[in-house]
Amino acid sequence: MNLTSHRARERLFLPVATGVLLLAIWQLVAARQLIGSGAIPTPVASAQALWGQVRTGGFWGMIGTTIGYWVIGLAIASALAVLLGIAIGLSPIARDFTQSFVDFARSFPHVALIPIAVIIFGTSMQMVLVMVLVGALWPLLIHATDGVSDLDPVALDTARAFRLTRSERFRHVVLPGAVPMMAAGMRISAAIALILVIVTGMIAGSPGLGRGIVSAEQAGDSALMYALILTTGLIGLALNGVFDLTERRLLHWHASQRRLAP
Amino acid sequence: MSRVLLRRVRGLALPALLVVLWIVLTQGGGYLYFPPIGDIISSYRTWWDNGLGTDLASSLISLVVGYAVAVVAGITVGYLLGTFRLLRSAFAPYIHLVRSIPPITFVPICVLLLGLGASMRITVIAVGAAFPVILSTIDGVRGIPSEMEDMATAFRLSPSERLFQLTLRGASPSILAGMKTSLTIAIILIVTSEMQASTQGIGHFVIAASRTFSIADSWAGTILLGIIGYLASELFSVYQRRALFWVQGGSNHDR
Repeated sequence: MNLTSHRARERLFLPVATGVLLLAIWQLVAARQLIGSGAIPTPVASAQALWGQVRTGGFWGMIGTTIGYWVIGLAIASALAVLLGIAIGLSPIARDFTQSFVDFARSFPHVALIPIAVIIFGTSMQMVLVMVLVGALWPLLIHATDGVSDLDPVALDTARAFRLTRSERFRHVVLPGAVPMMAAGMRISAAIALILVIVTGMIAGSPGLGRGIVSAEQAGDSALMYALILTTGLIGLALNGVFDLTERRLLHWHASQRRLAP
Repeated sequence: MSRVLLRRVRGLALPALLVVLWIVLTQGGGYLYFPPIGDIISSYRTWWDNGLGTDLASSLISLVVGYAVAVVAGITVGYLLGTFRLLRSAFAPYIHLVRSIPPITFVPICVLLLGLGASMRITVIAVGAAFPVILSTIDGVRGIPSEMEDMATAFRLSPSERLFQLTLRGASPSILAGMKTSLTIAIILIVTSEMQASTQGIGHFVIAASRTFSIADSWAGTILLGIIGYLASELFSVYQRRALFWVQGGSNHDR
């Protein structure tokens, strides 16, 4: 047996073994009520609750609403962030003027604004979108600014030496050079946007998985609650996978995407 | 030097302008949702007499204790997973699964387990904020050049010297970057857990105020949370720069 197939087997076998072990511990702790006297559902009960949900329309409606809010909110936030980020990145003076404000806006705990957003907009879609915008704008904006302003000076000088016009330089050098940074910022913004869609549901009761989790909690249905929480994790994983794929497709020319030859 | 000063002044211009705009535009109380600054200040006065100190202490203590546990646990787990390949293959997929669950959903889980007290909030933060530190520690530990490992062996570093001088030190730029993400998550978690399930803390004050439509009180609490979030992040950046003075090409990972 050579080393690579040994490693491959290890990579396949070990996680499955730990998975079984973790499930067994979970089942034991929950069934014997070792912790929290009945507050933890057994994995079997959670799986049953999830299976029960998968066959209802309400479940898919919740997922649809959550993903719909996420897509619309992220689209608005990223369009604005890219435009503003490029504009700020192109001008050192604009960077000076906005840096401290952007730093403050980014480190502001945006969830703290939810109660005020609810007073102003109610628990409408508008409120969720405003919260997503307020939270998800900054990482992408900062990355777009940095991507545009930290370009390789040699590339810019070369473009100038070849007498590319301003707009040609922008289209062929500045923009492609900034895209990998923007992709990195987009990832952070996307994760924050998903968190905000779910947390507005949990705190303000706007529709979606967040509200579902809290109503399961309040109904004392811990099996359903765990099932829905696991669902949010799976959605997060799936969205991350979509980003991996898109990045690999769009940025196949960039050094960060190249794999070393084996 | 004057360039630095100019940047500072320019940086303050926009926030100052916004504050002035708020003061001027809301003066007559013409905007329902944006109360005059005087109302917000008097909110702080009333709140001060009704336990602002206790709310602040409650929030900060949960935050600091939870974050400290998250960092220590995160570095320990990250070090073990980064060092031992078998442990990594066994647990990495599950860490990635749990990490993709938005940490705020740990709040209802911990409420059912631990009730509404401070231990619930501390646990939520300790668990939710640990993951970025775990992942960044794994990356940092694995990123140490193997020549350095060989060098440490050649110089017969003792195990503790090796741990602190080589492994943790070498991984520290990555660990600190993860700790910064964790700090943001910890602050989000303290606010959400207080809003969702608590009878004290600044987050609870904000949500209680908003339920009675006391808009000035809601703003007062929200602004205080914003200041805490900003100060925490700025202080951390200062510490990060100091701690990583030895890293070539600047230490600022995120900006």
